[in-house]
Amino acid sequence: MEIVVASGKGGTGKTFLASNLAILINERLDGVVAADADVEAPDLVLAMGGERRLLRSREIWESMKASIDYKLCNRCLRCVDVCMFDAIRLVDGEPRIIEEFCEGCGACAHVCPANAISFRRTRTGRIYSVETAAGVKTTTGDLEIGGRNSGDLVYLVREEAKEIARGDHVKNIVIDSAPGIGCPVISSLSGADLLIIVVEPTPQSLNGAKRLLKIAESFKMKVTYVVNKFDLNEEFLKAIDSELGLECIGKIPYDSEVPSSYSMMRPIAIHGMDTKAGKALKEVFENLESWVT
Amino acid sequence: MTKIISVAGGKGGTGKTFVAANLAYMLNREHRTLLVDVDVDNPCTRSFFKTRQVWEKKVLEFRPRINQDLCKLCGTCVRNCPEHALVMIPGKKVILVGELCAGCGVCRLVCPFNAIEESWIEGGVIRGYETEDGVDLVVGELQPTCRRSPVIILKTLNAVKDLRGRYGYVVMDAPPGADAGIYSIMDYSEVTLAVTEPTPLGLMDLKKIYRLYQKFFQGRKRFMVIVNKYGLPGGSEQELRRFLDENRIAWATIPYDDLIVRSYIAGELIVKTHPNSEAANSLKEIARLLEKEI
Repeated sequence: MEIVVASGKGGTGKTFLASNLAILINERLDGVVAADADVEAPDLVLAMGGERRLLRSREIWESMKASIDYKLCNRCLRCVDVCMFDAIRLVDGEPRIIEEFCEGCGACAHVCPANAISFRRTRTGRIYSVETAAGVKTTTGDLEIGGRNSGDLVYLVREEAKEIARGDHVKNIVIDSAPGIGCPVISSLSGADLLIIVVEPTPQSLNGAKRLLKIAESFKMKVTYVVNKFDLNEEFLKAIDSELGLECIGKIPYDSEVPSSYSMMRPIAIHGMDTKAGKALKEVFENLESWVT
Repeated sequence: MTKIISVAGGKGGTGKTFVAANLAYMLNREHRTLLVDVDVDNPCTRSFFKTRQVWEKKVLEFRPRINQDLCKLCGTCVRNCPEHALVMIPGKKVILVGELCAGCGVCRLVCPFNAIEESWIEGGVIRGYETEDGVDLVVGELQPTCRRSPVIILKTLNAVKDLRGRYGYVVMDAPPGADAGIYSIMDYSEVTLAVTEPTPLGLMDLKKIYRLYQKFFQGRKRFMVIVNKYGLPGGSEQELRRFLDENRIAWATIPYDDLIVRSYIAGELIVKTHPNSEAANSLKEIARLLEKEI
């Protein structure tokens, strides 16, 4: 079963929940593989105490970028008109490719009458799998700085996590999604089984959760939610309940042990189950069991 | 000359929107200021202002419409679709999987029978607002289930191009991350304020956005760090300070303060409702620093 932890808004506690749930599932439900799909800011390994040993690592060079041979280019500028991504601009009478915006789709090459446009592979990023200090095998995607195609990288991360899970005869995969509702998030949700939305009791976070829910609905997946730092604004819980209309599997209080657990690299699920946050996590895990099994 | 400042930061939830909204409010007291929300996945700046919508621009995204009468099932579009969004049902028809389509239009260009017609969906929308506080606001918003955030960001920046001359400052509230969308926002601005928090995760993501700055903009643009939630119980200020000092990055702090959380929840600008609080004073200091530095 692929369980995705996501949130719409950033910084609500996705990595916190994903890392600790992965540890609990690993210990108490016959193993888990974790996947860090927040490829622009991958922190999941860190949240599980860091890397104990590297299992595998590979570079991904799948991003195609157009380039123009100016000896052949006749300056007809059809490529400028046809590019849907504003990646070809007119500079001093010449078409100029802005690589950061190029999707590599090939539209420009199809309309170029002079065959002046060719494509080369560029680095999409890196995928690596480690065993974390917490004992959870984790696959991480790390997008090239300023890169595109984050959805493709997320797809490959999920495939590698599944492969490791198959090899280890492990059923469950926990995916830590990127914030937002764009390309990497859609790639995280597509074909997964269960979405856990992490929401804070703020209007801004609820807004993000509702936007995320629209995508989950289009995928027809099971959805539940967890309220993080619920005691910061308890009056707001009713609004969350009525606007999301979902079953809630737990509420986690604000606890300064959580930032400490990161600083000390001692995950709550291992070293802090008797803290406020730890007790709440245990409840989330127990409620989750009925969804997983 | 309009001065353009982007508020970014790698990690989510570090306080970008809080900083951008308060900063825009303060700068606007001396120079007319435009706040631009380019966190198109989940734009939240409006929660801090009473707004009145002035204009709206839809961002359209291409989608192929297959004319079944003209389609000869040759499969050229299916082979050329870079996103594998077109699927051939042999002997029957070609269908589009909308969630996968990037809207590039290659299918239409390669079809030998002109069987692909163009249609357009709303991929996002850009809206202009006036606020009661006098700050003008532009918000870019991605349509849920559409995936091209960087395209909506770019279109929002283009929309601002025509307006920015009227303002002394443009403050941009960027999304988390360090991808091509952030690149285009940093490219557009003179100075990037990266908001981070004193946790190992905050530092890890700050390093990534700093590398983005180093790779593309060092020497021609400015980069400053705001450490928000400074003094967070259990926080790791020391490591963060070491990184900032080693790289000689200019930085300022905003203290960890319950008042900020409460203001945020209530959608209040702390510099307006609690102008003498420690948090408001640190924001004023940041605004002064910016006015002096750029």
